[in-house]
Amino acid sequence: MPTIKLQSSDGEMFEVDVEIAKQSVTIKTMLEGKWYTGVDRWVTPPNVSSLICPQVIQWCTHHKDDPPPPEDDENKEKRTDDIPVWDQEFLKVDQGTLFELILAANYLDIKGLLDVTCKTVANMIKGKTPEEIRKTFNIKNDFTEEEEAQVKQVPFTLWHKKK
Amino acid sequence: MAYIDFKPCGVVHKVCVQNKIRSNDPFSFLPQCLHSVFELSDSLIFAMEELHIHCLKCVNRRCMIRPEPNVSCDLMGCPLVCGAVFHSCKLNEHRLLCPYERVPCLNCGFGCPFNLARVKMAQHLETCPASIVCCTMEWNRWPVSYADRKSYDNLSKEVCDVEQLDMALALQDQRMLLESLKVVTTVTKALEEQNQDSSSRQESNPENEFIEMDEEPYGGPYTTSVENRRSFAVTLDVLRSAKNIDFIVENTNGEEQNGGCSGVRNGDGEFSNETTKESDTDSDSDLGAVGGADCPFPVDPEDERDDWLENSGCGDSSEEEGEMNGGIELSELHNEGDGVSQVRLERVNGSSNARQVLSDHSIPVLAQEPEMAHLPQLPLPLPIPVPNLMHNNVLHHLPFRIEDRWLERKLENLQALRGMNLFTIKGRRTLFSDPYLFKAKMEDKAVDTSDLEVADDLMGLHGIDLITAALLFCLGDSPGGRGISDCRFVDGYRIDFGTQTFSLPSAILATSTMVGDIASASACDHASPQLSNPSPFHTLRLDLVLECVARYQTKQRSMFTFVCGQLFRRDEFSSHFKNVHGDIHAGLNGWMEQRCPLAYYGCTYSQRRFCPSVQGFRVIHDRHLGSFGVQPGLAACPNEPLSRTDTCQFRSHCDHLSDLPFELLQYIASFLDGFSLCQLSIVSRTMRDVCASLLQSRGMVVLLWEKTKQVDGTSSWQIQDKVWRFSTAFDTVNEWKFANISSMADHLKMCTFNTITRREEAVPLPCMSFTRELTKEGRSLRSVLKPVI
Repeated sequence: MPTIKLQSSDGEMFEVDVEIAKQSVTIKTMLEGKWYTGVDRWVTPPNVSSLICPQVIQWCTHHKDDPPPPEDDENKEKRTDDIPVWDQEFLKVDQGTLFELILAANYLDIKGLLDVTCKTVANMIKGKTPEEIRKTFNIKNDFTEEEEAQVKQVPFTLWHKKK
Repeated sequence: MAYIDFKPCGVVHKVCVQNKIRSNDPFSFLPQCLHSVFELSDSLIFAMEELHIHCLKCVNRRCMIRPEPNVSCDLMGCPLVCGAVFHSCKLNEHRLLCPYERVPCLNCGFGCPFNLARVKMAQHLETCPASIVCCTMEWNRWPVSYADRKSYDNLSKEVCDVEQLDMALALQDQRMLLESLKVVTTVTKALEEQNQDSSSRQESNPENEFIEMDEEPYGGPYTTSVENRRSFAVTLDVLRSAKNIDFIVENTNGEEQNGGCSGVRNGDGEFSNETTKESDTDSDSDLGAVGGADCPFPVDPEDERDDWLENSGCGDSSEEEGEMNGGIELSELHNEGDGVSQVRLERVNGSSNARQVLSDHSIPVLAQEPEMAHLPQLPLPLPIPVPNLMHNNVLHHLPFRIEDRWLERKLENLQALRGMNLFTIKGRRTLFSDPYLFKAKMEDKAVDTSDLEVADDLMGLHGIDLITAALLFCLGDSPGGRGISDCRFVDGYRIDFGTQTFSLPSAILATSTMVGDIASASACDHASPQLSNPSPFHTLRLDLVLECVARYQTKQRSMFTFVCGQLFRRDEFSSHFKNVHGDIHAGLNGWMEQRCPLAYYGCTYSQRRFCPSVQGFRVIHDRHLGSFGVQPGLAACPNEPLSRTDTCQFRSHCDHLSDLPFELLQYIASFLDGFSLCQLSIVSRTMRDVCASLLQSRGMVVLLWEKTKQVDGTSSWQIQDKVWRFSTAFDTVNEWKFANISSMADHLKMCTFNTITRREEAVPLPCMSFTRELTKEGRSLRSVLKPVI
């Protein structure tokens, strides 16, 4: 199996099968690009650290036989209760790692990984009150007292007019 | 499908009929549809004027006629490549029906901003943000019977964080019910007028200027103006301090003085009998106590408890001659200097302690008396005027109780006489044809319920159950409810027999606060937490069990009916109805939420037998949104050690989420349901902007209507604005799974209310209890019984 080397943003090299790496549309475009003619082939995906790169490779290796994901149907209901069990276990990590995986999946354009990571974050938001969401993600409430009372009463259009 | 004669318009009409079939409200789209048709008709007329004589009737795709000025023109294909071929002069006409022509949505008049190809119109209408449906599902509840009050008190003890779905829904229904009660007095009107003058200088609250087309459950309780908040503070302060209050005096500035009455009570505690001012009209004096409440009875100035407790029934005053009560007279004092009235509630002398019979002056005046029309119009506002009760040295003590029937009829009479809308109780207006108006004499038949148990009164309300009072407003004279009075016809007269004594705090009358607003103070926790903590309205007085009665069935008058009334996008409505009304509501009566069998005795334990879709997911109820939602939980087994969750994503020391690129936040938010988007939109400014970007695709647009007065004095409703919001729908639950929970029997083993009685001695049967019963050997049966092990 032909392999390719991935160089993380901090210089570490990781070797991975080309077919596995091609799950990333970014890497696939790089490999098929006319400028890429080197024998000792490696690519440098942007903004992927050496901590995240092996996890991305691990996810892609597990899902190498998956069928290509279907095109997004705008009218179709997006569900978050269909995350595979392996992915649920894989994503039981701290928030920092989770969001790094989201960024890596976004930069590498790996739709499957991006979907499961975003669904995981969505499940952390669903069903929670605003205060619980703030506590979970340590989000600062930057509304003034007056604004906070207004946002609960005033619909979006009027609120933006007030601003 | 119906077609009209003009073929170009036929396509449009076809779409219209298609939408009409799908719409629950077939007339909602009609104005816009007709508008479009008329627009197209104008365009059609213009287009047809350009057609050549030959081209007008030619539809041949292979027409070979030679182009000739004013006669014919060349063929052309559609510029949008829809496949149509026509004479070039028909281009404008073709645009009226080309499927690829971009046109505004049919619902653009209702706020939809989309322009789309005509061929996608039908598909778009299924998800159009302006195509919204109002859920009209109804359910019913009985009020809690007196026998069950104790158990419901226990159930309501820990309701700050209600996780039980049936309790949460019942409390929500009760809040909605209380908020719907609007009791506005003349004093209220006076203050409103004063506040209107002063509020012009205050910060305007634009929200109050808009009236939404449809009431939103989570919008109603929070629509409080600055004036209402002030009233809340005043009212609840009065309630808290109203322990020994004798009267409440309200001056024109809205100040309230609590505590001892000024100028009435002497230093030794005796009350001076202050002569009340004669009413301006004879009609006032003719208005006696309406209803069975007019019962003069002695007043005990020593008994301060009687200020609020109505513990003396006039009908029994002969039996309880020494008993005093807190009879307080409402007298009308006109400050003629500035024309503003005051309300003074005075404790009057209790010299007369015998049952009094109303004098003729207390005969309620017929509303139809022609001379009444000539009565001078008294200036507004007037407090609740009560006739001079000192006629003929007969002291008519009006117990200070706001019996709805009495007060209602009294003020109805006043309204008839003075042509003023003084007092209205929602849905309880009596008719002028009420034969009660013709009643000559009345006897008070109020029943003394002073021996009823009164719970600890932390709020200083002195036994007032505001919730029950408010509910009784609704139930009134219904046969199944606990009415304040029971009306019977005796000798042609309609006499009210008081079934119980009840009172509302006078603070309600003394301020501009409405009962519903006080009741909803608990719902305004977030707006003004200091006002409603602790809320006196947390005790449930509605039955936990839902009843579903079809609309064609006759309902008991004592049964409360609640309507969902929430707005949803058309594509969300079916899942809402199925999951919320079909699954959750139907399962609250013990199927989904199973309560301990000893709940009646006070056990608050319950367990969910089903979970939505995935193990670990659970149904929750959000009080502020007034809706159910689904909360994903840990999918792992419940025995998972906590250490794994500590390092999990459930806590963070820095805000990674807000640092994500906006597009990624949008993508994450696209997985959220409307319920979660409502919550996320008030987390922070960034999150609100993210949610705002999804409004067109996930939100809905609602019309804001405003009542405007025309030049000719008539009123009409105009669309003031179109506002966007998210619905409270959650992801469709396609299947319910049995939750991984223990059996109820395991709880019963440890239930504190499960007192197991273990008998160690044999319990004789009745036939064995008599010693004369002997066995064949002559021994008594009791002696041969074996002990129960």
